[in-house]
Amino acid sequence: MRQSWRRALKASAVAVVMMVGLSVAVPSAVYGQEQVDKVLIRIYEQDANAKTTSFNLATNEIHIEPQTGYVEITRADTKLESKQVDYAQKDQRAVLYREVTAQQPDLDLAADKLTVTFDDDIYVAEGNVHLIQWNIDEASQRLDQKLSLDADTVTMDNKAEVVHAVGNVYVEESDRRIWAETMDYNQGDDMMVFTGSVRVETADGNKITGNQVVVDLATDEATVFGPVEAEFILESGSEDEGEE
Amino acid sequence: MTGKQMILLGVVIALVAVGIWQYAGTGQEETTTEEKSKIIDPEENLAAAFSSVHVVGRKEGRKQYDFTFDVVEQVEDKVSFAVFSNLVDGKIYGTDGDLQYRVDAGWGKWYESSENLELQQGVELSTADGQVLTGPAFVWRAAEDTIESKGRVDVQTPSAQVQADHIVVDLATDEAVLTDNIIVSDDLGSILTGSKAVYRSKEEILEVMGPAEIEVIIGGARNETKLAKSSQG
Repeated sequence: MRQSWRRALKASAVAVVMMVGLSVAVPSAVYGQEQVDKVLIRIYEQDANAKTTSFNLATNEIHIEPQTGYVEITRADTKLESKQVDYAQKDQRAVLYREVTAQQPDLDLAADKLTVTFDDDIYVAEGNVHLIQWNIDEASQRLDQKLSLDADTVTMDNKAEVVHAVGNVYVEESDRRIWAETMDYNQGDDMMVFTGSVRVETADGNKITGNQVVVDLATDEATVFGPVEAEFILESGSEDEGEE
Repeated sequence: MTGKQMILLGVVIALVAVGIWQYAGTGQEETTTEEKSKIIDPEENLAAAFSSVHVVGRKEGRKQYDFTFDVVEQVEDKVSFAVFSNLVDGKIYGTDGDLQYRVDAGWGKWYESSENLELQQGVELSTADGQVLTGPAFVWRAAEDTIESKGRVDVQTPSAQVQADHIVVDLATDEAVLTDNIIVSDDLGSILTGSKAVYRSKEEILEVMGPAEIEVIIGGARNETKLAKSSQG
């Protein structure tokens, strides 16, 4: 029974870490390229006379807000879209508002607001954050959905290789679901930590709750900190079912 | 050439110079002959008057322009105009009376009826705050207080370089409307391209209309774009 739980937790943890790892890996690859690292901003607007952009040449700040169109920002294989963008060149920071989406070959993200610091490679998604990771083949073609993450705020620091999700965290991966108040992943120590009213459920009905769940990917150990409450469904074929 | 011929030639030149004064004065309020006669005295040096005609225009009590150039030819046609050359350090004043643009041009035309000043060949219009407009040709319309480019224009601002196929500068509002093939390179190396924009020089703000593209370099300005602010103005 305990082995089954550890497998379930490990599987969920590995899935989330794979998602996080890909988020980290893609921009890093961009930095490895010798070509000039640049951001291309495309402003789509059908009305040729509609004001779309205010460019302060003295401060190097750009406010983009098409009246009927949208803004697309691309950097390597990352594509961002929104209805409004404020870009501060000196800080290399873009703040996207309204109907924000982000795409990578294996990733879709939607949020109310996304702050990107390109120099530091930090992405902060706020408000109704919904992130989906896809399985992809060798040609980067999408296959099927691997998992999803919902939260109020998700911060991805690709240089520090950490991901921090806060508020109404919900992870769904194949037949496993995890609820928590926060989720932290640190690639350095290979640890993933769910905190605050953590609840884990599997499709076969197993449930466990605790204040904190720490997943050590190096040792494959998941530790649940109490008070812990668990509800297990016995293996099929056995007529014994009950709670623990 | 005999003495009489020389005197006759001098009289002709003087008449041409007086004609130019008249053109300058047409439609311009409070442009006094007295002031012009102080600047040019044909009897004093006819050759100098011919080669360095100085005209000053006033509008609504304020100085509007101050040009010095050489008169080449006066054409009387359906549209009469005077051809001039070597306009050096001409001055166009704003509605507040402050100097707004310094003007240099290889040659140009002064139209009597429309009062337009057409500037050609190496035209450069510069402001005190470091903005420089250069292009093959411009038209300054005194009545409308506008400067319009004829041909692609290059605008060097304190912080950016702006190019467009066409520009109209409203001197009253200090706003420039740029159209077609606009390219803006700022001092951090970003490049904006678009089709229509309004540049407000006092605030150094460029407002872009319609679709556009901006390319931003991450990690510093591109090497080939060096806009030296110190070189301005």
